[in-house]
Amino acid sequence: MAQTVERVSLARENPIGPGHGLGSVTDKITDIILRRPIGLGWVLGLLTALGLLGALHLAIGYLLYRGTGIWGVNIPVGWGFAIVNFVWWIGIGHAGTLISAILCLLRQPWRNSINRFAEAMTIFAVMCAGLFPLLHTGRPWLAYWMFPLPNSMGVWPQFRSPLIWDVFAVSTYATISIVFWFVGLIPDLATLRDTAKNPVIRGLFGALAMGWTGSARHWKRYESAYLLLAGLSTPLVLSVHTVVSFDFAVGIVPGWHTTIFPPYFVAGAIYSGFAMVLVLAIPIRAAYGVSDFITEKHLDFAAKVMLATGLIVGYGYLMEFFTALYGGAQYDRFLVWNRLHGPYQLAYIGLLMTNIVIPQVLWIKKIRLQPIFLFLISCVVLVGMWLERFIIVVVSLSRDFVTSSWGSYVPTIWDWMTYAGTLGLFFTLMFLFVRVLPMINMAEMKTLVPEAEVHHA
Amino acid sequence: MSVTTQWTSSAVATPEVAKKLSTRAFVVGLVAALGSAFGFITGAENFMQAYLVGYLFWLCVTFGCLGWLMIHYIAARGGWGLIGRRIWEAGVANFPLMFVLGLPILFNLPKLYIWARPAAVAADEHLRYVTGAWLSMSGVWGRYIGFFAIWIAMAFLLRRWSAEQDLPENEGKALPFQWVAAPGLVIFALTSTFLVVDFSMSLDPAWASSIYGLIFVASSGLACMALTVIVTATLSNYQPMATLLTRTTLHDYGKWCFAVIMLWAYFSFSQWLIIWAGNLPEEIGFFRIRLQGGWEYASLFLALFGWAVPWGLLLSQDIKKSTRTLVPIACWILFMRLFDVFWYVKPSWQASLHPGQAHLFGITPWDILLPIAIGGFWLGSFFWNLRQRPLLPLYAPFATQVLEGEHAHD
Repeated sequence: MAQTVERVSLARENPIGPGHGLGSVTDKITDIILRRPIGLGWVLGLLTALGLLGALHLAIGYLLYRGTGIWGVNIPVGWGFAIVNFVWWIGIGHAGTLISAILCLLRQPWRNSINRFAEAMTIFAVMCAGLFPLLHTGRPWLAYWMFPLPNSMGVWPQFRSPLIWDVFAVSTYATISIVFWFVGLIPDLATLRDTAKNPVIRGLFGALAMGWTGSARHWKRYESAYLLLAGLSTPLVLSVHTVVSFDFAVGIVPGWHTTIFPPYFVAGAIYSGFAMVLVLAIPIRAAYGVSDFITEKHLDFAAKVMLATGLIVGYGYLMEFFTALYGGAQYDRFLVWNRLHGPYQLAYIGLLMTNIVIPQVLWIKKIRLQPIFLFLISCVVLVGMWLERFIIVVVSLSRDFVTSSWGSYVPTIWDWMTYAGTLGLFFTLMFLFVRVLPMINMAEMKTLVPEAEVHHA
Repeated sequence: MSVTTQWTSSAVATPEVAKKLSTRAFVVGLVAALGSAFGFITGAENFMQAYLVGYLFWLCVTFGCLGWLMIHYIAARGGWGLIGRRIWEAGVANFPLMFVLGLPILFNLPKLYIWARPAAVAADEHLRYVTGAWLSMSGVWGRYIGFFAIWIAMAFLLRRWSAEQDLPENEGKALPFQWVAAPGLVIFALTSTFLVVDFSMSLDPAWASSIYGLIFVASSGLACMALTVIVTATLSNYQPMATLLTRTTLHDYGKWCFAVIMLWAYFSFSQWLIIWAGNLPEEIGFFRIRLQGGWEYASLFLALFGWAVPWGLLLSQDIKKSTRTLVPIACWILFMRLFDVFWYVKPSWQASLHPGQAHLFGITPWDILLPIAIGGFWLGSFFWNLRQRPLLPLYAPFATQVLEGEHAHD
């Protein structure tokens, strides 16, 4: 049966609110940096973050004076908060690159509103992460020994150790993330240079914009560079947390030595990264009135990514348990029992609740579109992902093969202060960032407004 | 910009050639099946091992069709997803066929699996444990029936709603695809993993790897995408695929092949590195038997030609955009997926049923004939299913954009 169909193409799904043009995008975002007065909320938030940053300085100062003995680490738990927090922060840093690089290659225009501050979040999170292994070495001033530098003693790093791979993976990731972020900023810095009235500010943005004129040649080179950086960054999204997972998985400790670790670590990283994106995006859109740029659609998409990656993490937990019970190795079976019934049972149940059970409410669209609920669930996920790393590090190390070597781990006040301090560092940098640099990518947002549509005669 | 386009449902009908391909595939399958029947008489164990390889490979292709179909409904409703939809639907309609084709394996478990031999179980403590914990006869049968019931039900619902979308009165009507596709992906990941554990990982019941299921899921996705390239390219010699398959869509399929081949390699490499570094007696045996007796060359071949070479070629945009270059690579990818299943099955089967013997790399005629036989039936049924519906769901959302593709007005 031949049916004649007359149809009209569907309007392009636009991820930003209606009524915006090229000018309004520029005005709205530059206004936050150049004209908007500093609010009380911002000042209080920054002061709180600075307070925590002060605690970090105190904790690091005392650590350098006394050594890592001030922390709760001891044999058998030689990896305590330092490694838990390192993995947690590195994981959070993953969403930025995923949004910037992978979603760019997948041609997802909704990323345009959130990529800039997600990239900033990545850089700040990697800075926080990098502190922990550095301090955990005990003599951070000798940290350069981890690099393969020729030396008179003929001492070289152990290249077969994933801990050394980490040095390269994380430093490469940090470098590429910074370059990617800065390259993306250049057109916006030029816009700020051209918009600013104050000559000092104009000069500063002008120097950073590196002579950008917005000519067709500049745009062509910019687009090529951006695409290349996106291509280079994409494998890094996988490689960094894969190498972090190898830190554990190549060892034979039960609970660490399992083949699912690499993809499950990567999924967990994206899970916590998107949770942090939402924790930042939801207050930002309310405080700065940018909910027509970061719309409900963005929250919905981010929540869906969180749900999907959370389910992969759940698959990982299930496979880990299944393999331990199916394989039947004595120590693996004990690990399952120990997590469910051992001294850290509460932490494990908390992990299952926060990482797996509670986030299932994200199946409900109404909840995905409710910023407050979404904010709370994202906080819950961040707690859950922290607990996951705590369980992996502490439960496995505290009870390994020989019962006589069993022990327990209790973090000290200095552990907590260092952890809280990195939160201070992170939020201090975020508070400063939202006021001095465009937190939303103006150039890319302009590609979404109706004026940017190509019209054929 | 709104554009009005005129298209008829007969203009998007599957071409007659699908019928011819279906008949040819059935004939090839039948001839190969008759030829391999001799193998069952001369050596039932070897025959069943080859049957398992062929079956698992075509099951992977079917899994891939279900996976991509569900991904299409939740994340890729336009472009490449919409053009692949009817192909994947024809693939998932083969689940009942795969259920029937799997029964010979279940009726011949002792020929394949050490855990299905009561005498061996009685003599080995670990086998007693693992058969008690998971690999019981009733458990394997129950899971097989239950999993197929789930897959057939999901395929049925998705196909039924898709057929409803072919009716003009349903244009623009919201059909509940996502209600099956979203939870379906979770259910599919778990059920396919556990089926692969029962049918493949349990060949060596003393060995376990938690990434095993994901490796097969990636392999399934890759095999199906390679098949999609081959089928769309073949049909692009006829209308409507000649219009529908644009260079952009082909490029997208090529990109997916590139990405999933990397994913498969990533999972496989992770499995190897972690087990190699751990070097535990209960784990390392899996790789030891694959690194001696000629199997080391097979392993190297798999790494080089299963990943490095096709992946390297697919880096090129030009290669991905032309059927002339992409189709041979897709055929090669499909062959390497079969080789990968062979690499997983045969050494474990040899080592567990004949311990203490030298396990040399070898290919029997049945290793070639049986995948062709099962494939013949699979493809015969596939093209028959494909023929039943138009090649493009004309009233689906985003169909207009597909019809306004690069060559739409040629």
